[in-house]
Amino acid sequence: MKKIEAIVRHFKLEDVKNALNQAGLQGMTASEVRGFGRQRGHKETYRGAEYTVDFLPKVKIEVVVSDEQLQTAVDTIVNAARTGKIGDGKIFVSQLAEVIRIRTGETGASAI
Amino acid sequence: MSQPAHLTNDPASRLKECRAEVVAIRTHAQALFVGGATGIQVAAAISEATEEFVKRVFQETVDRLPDDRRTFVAKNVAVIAVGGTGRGELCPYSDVDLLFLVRPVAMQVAGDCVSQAVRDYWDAGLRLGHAVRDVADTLNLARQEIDVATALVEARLLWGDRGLFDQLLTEFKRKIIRSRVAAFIDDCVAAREKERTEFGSAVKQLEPDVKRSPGGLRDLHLLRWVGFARFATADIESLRLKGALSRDEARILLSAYDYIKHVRVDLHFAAGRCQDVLVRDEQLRITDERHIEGTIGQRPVERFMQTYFRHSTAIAELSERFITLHRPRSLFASLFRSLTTHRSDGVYLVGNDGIDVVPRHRDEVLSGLEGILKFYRTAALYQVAPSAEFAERIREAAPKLDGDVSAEAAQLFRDILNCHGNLGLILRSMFRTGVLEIVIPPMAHVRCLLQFNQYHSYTVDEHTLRAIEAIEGFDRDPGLLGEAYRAVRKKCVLHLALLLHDLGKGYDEDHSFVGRAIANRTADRLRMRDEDRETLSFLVHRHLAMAHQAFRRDTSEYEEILDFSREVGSAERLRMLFVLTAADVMAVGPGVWTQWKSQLVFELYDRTMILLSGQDAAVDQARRLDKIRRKVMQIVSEGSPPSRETAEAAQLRNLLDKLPAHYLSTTAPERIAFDLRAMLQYRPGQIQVEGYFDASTQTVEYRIITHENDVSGCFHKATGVLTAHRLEIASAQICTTPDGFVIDSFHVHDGDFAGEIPAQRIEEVASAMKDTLSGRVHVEELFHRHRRFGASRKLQPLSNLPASVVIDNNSSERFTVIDVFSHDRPGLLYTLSRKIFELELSVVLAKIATHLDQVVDVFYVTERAGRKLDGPDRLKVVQSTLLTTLDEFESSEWQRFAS
Repeated sequence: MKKIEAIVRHFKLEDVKNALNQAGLQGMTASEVRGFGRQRGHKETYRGAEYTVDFLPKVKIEVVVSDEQLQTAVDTIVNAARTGKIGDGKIFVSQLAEVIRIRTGETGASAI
Repeated sequence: MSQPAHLTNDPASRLKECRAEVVAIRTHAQALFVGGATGIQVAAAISEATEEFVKRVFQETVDRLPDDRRTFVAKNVAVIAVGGTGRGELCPYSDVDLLFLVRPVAMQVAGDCVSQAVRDYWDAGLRLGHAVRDVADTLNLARQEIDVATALVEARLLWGDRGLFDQLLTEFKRKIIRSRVAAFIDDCVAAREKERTEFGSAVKQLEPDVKRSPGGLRDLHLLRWVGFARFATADIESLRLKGALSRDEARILLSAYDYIKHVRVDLHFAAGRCQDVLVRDEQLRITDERHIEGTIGQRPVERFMQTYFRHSTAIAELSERFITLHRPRSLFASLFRSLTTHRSDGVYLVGNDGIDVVPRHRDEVLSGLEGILKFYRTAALYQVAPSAEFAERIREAAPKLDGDVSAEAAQLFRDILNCHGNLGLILRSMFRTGVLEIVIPPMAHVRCLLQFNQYHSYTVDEHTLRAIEAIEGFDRDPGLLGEAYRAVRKKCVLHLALLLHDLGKGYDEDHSFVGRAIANRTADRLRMRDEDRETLSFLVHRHLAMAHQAFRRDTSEYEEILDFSREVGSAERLRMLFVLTAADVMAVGPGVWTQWKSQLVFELYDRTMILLSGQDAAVDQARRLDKIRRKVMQIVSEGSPPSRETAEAAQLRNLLDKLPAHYLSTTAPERIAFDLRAMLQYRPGQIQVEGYFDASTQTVEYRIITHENDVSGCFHKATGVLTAHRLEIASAQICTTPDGFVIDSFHVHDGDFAGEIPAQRIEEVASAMKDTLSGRVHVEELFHRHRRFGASRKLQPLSNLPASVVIDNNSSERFTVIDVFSHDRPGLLYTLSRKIFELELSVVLAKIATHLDQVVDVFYVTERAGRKLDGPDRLKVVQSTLLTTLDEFESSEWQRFAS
């Protein structure tokens, strides 16, 4: 099992959610986060006014999938979240030790 | 329920019997509950059976003692039910609160006895709250701990020596209550305030604690305690007989109490433990079990909760009113009050803690809606709360008023809405007394209306009033929200929009559409002017637009901002929508307005503001401008002695101080220094024109520095010259100083050349510019001279949005702001600016921005005499003239400029 954490542009959340649902992946957690990556300190000039960008609002999406679903999930997120411009975000994948469904006590892949 | 014989002495079987009995008490109660008994009946049955059990177990414990000790204990111990147990209203899993009152001599012997009994109670499955004390200790503690004191209000003897019990009660009444009524009540109220805050400070939070949240059972207890202190009885019926409560109030209280008690019993049985929070799942279960049906637009669970909230609101309001009325005022406070109270108009009594009406004027004030609204307006103006007594009189009078709103009443209500500071409080009072429903009838529909979703914490009415409180709080905000709120001129329209924004909820149709219809009807009812009505309608209909745009769209995309700003139309409306959005989100629940959300909304606001007003909305503008001015002074004074300011530098500083903010914040300091010198060296008749090529943007910047005495219509002539030379104007900025200096700058694309534009061409344009501005050459001549022959093909515009002209007379103190949204074509700017000149308007500032084929042009204009456009007629003429000009241009005029 793998845990996917994707940091994406805030307005891409709906797109990513719909795409994942269409790909047959259900269940995800989304949270409002603020952060920066390589574009740190990137200054944007917007009609004469200068914006010093520090922490940018992003959305973090967490999805847990079985090993076989990983590639599909990652591809789906990348396609849905990409605009091609700086600040599209990142995806982190990590190995997951265990999943437990609280209501039934099921564990492992059947609890995803 | 079976009545077991005397309990055995064998500990194991004794325990078993006790347990069985406590279970039986609950089973019996549950049977009653399922059989349809009321909450009060079930609670009474549980109390009665539990008391029996408590008494018997204690009696048996005593019975096991040797004879002499038995009598000793009976004479020196009193088992007293306190708190909820004393009231005789136990819920299935409530704590059983007991006080074992013991004379000091019997402490040792009684102690053993009590610990035996307490062990049995616990083992039996009762949740016990108990204490063993003598009279002196109890009174001491009651003086320090308000919980102990209030528990004693409900004290009832279960077992033991009545003399001992009476002694406690007499001394309690004398030492704790009668000699310090005010302190006792203050402590009760303070403790309740603390509890209210811990369990959510609103009556209508969507997952209430039926006991401790505002409007919960505890508010009724509080009323009882205050009643006990003032009237020596805690019983609702006795309070009514003593005239402390009206018949209606007593009836409403008892029915609300019964309803909430019933829900609490239900919660306990379902959870199998003490569970007082009415969570969403439980709301659904209860709705289901009670077979509550939904209506169109309202789910069954929302109807159930609406009933619940009606009852809890009744408890909260009645208890609050009761306490305010019956709380004693200290001599000092009364004196202070009479000293600080003054009469206003001879009708109102305005004090620090409230506003009342002089008794002989009361009937007159209450006789019509106008009188009542005048009272509220006075309260709003003086920023004081309406007194509880008079609010109650209004509540009684409200149903007798006729439902019409006269012109005077409409004006009064608009005046109230124009206030801020305690508007939330005033509207809350108007809502409670029913006056708000008379002015805005749809308010009735959202009373206690639940929104069954995961986002909202409050019912619609509570959410709305909280939003009003949030928005008026912006007045003290040092940041962007405060700036925007303070700059809004028509607070009345803004506040009304916020009051109406969710009134469309609870219907089948989308609430923003229903809301718009309500807004239009309300605007008619309140006799609002057309322009205000339109703004109101927009704000209510599109109250989610800014949140959607900020949270779901890319706020850094120019097109998105452009579409949004086009919809909003003007800076004033943007400010209104901005503060409305923030207040709306804040009032959804605590912690919903996160930094994440605020950052996105602020960004969108700032960017849209730049488009609509030509200036950015950032708050620390004054500090930034200072920094720029210092930098400029540093540049101009380079090379001169640093110790003293020369006469020249003083002159420069004088000129610098007069330069407008938008010019300073968008022009490089070096350039400002250059312009300053040009102004300093200015001689009448002089027109300076320069052109620079900027490789990074591949544009040429033409700058004109002159004086308005020398040139009239500088802006339209300059655009004409540029257009005639087939230059595309990408952006333009003009600036006029109070001294009459004109500094215009234009960024243009020169389609005739690729790469760097030769100096010769720049020189040609610049000299044509000088000739035209000085009047030697007429603009129209230039068009003929530079006209190219060839096919002039009409290009289809990329977007099919119609052109629009929005005139905003509110955003700026001194200027009228005209926003023009249109398709760009060569010659457009010239045509527009010439028309503005012909309308006898002076352009003080202009911001031109082109993106693809869309333009947003912002003109800050005044009449030639220097004042803002006055009168709606003049505004209409300007708007329609410009629209006609745009139409003509789009249909045929453009061909004159096509190349």
